[in-house]
Amino acid sequence: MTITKNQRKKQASSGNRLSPYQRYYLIFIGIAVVVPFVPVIIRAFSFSWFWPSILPTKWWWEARENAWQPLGWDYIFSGPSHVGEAIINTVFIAIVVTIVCTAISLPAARVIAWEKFRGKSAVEFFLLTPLIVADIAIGLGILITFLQLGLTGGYVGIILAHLIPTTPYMVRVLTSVFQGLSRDYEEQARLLGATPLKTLWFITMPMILPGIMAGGLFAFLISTNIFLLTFFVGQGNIVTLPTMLFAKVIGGSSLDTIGAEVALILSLPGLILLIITERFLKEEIFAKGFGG
Amino acid sequence: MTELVLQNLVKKFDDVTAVDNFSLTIPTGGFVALLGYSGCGKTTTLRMIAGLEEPTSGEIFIDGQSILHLAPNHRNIGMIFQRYVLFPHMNVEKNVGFGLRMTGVHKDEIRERTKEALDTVQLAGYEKRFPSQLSGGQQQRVAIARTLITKPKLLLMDEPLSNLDAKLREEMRSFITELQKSLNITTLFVTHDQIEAIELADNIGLMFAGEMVQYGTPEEIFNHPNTPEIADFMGATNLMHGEIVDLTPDICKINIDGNLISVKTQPDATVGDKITMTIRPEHMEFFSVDDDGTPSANVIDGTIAEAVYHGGTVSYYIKSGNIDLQSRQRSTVTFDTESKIKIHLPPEHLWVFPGRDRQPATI
Repeated sequence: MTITKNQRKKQASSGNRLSPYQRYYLIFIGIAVVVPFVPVIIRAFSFSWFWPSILPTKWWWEARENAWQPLGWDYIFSGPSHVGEAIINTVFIAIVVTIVCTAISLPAARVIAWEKFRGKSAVEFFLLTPLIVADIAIGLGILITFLQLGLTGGYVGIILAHLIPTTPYMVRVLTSVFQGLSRDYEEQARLLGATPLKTLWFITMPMILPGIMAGGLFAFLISTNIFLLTFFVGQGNIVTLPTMLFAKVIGGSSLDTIGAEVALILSLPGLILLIITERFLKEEIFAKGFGG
Repeated sequence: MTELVLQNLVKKFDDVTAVDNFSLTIPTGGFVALLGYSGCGKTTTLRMIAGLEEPTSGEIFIDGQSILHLAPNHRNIGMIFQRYVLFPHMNVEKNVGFGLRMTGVHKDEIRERTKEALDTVQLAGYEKRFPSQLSGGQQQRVAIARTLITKPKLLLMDEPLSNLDAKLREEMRSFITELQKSLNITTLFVTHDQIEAIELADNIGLMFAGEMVQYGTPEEIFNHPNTPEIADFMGATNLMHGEIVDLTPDICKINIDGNLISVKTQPDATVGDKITMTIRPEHMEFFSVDDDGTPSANVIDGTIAEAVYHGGTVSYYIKSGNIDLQSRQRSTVTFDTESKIKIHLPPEHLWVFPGRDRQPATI
């Protein structure tokens, strides 16, 4: 049987084309991701918005001119809201957590990826337990210990607590990166006269940079979203965006304008970081954090 | 000036002995190959010398000094890896200068020596290229330049030719041998490829299962293998079993499947000894049955079972009674399948080993 030019063309292009069902499915997923955001965005720019109206009856910019106190975004950016302080706290904690997390995950991932030792699978499983055990259980356990050690109510305690859910992701990402990296590079560097530290800095680090970026992004995003551990260990002393948001919505009945605005601000650090690091990221490495 | 001495090296991984009581001396400027099947411990030996593995016991001396306590970066040993491992995030210039940068050599000197090294490997003008933009042969030459620039006392190579295609092999082979001779650098390389070992090395150490089974020049190993296993590994795949039936101080007659074959008498031979005999495929001589020039002795009858044409040569699979033989002949005269032939086994190319503990290799 001979294949005509046309048939071959068809075969070649069919790899890129989705069936109608696949397309509908993708559209559905897209909607499911984006739609829950819509009310938050509308709410953040509304003044009064009551059921059953689809859009706010009065927008924030309509109400702000004759308001007797700062409204909506004006309040957010005013001193008494403490939003600025919360942003700084959140980002500062996330940066330190990311750096410390990378520093402790690098050697661990390297050993797990390259060495054979007794109990290796147990260690790998043990690393996943923070993801399996409920936040609140870990939080309570930490709180009791940290109270004894005097680590509550300060940055150090919060950073230590944040390392618990971030490290498993980082180790996972870096382990798979190390598995894809031949040991030959480090060995070659050593044989050319490089000390272990110089080998790490000039050879290993540049070669696993995409992995560090992906893992770092994970750690940063997780840290900026942690409420429970921050709340328990921080004891209300240290305000971060998640603790502020929870304070706003603790009533549960409705999302007020300020709450929606804090929620939007909370999604910003991750978004900005993603844009900055986008060119370093490779989807496949990123996916490995999820076990892909 | 570097003399390498390995003394009773042993390496065990858990219960597995990878290298067993291995000793070797390479004089200054020596070019030695460790040859053996993959997994025979040759690469482990290389890695122990480089400091990438720690021996379980034994000693390694360079110029009489033990180097076992030194970290790899303090041994001043160059090693070319099989896959060259050029650093992908550095261009050729940075790759070649890496060793000097790590040891704090001044910038200007690095530039000068990098240029010199690239000239030596005929890659001047490639400074700004990245490894991914180079061919296999060029990558290897960059790897060689990167190692030699640090002026190592000893050069180690892991399968130096195996990643190259046939034409490049030829080129790199003469390049490496010339470079080695001109620098007079003591060199040890490992390979599983007997041709590679024969082509490059002055001396070959044959390793089976962690042990050195024979050491000598390529000619010695090729023409005087110590055991049938070595003969087999070196390509003499024809194994014939027989018995010594007659003995004079000079000539020993052996009965092989009803054929009487004469060879030179070996010192400890006695009548009635069971022996194994082998011959290289290219050393048999074929004659058609009606050829008048057929020698009178050491001739056996055979039938061609299969002929495979290679171009310059033809491989024949021959049946002779109970014996299966494999031969390679020049293609100037060819024999068809099923044709009857006479095969002359020249006594000078027959290797006789005592015992018949080994079954013929299946084809």
